[in-house]
Amino acid sequence: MAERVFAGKLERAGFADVWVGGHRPFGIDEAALYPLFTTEVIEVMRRTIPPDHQDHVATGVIVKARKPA
Amino acid sequence: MRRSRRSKGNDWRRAENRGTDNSGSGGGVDTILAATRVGPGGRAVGLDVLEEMCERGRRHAVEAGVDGVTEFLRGEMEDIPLPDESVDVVISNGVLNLSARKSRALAEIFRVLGPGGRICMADLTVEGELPPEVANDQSAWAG
Repeated sequence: MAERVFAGKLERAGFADVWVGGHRPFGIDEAALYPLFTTEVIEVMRRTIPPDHQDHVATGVIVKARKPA
Repeated sequence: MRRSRRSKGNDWRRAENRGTDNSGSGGGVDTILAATRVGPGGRAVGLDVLEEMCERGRRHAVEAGVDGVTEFLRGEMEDIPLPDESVDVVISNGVLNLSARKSRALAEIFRVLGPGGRICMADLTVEGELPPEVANDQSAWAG
């Protein structure tokens, strides 16, 4: 999910003051620690993603928002 | 991802009377941390789809001495087993990406939050397009 899609979904749900920050690169090695990704998926990622991008295949973010009073 | 503790803590301290919901509570670490920050009369509620993880959370809460102000519920983030406007803060740490119905999950969070309630989530985002082999894999598509 792209960051703008994330923020858009929050706004469509009714949230206000949507804030996205704390950006941090997330690489294949970190993805491999999560049970969500099977060994096969990790292998495909290593094979198909250029080596110079493998340490940043996603971005970790902190998202905050508020339900209007 | 375990970051922004300060920000989360600021939010938790606002949970005075109703409580905090931690969607996707897993072993209960974030719920236990939230329980140490709720105000008088407040409580922290962990939500996980697996009863085994709820049990683990309950055990950890006892070990941490916060079992009196914590509750672990089995349920899905797309159908949160809590009443409308029953919590002040919702935290979620790397869980929304696991949902194939993210808009539904966010609508449920909106429902259980009281007016002025806050949400703080840590999760992953992507830029550009994923390789087709990854994007079409069922184990990865929820991301």
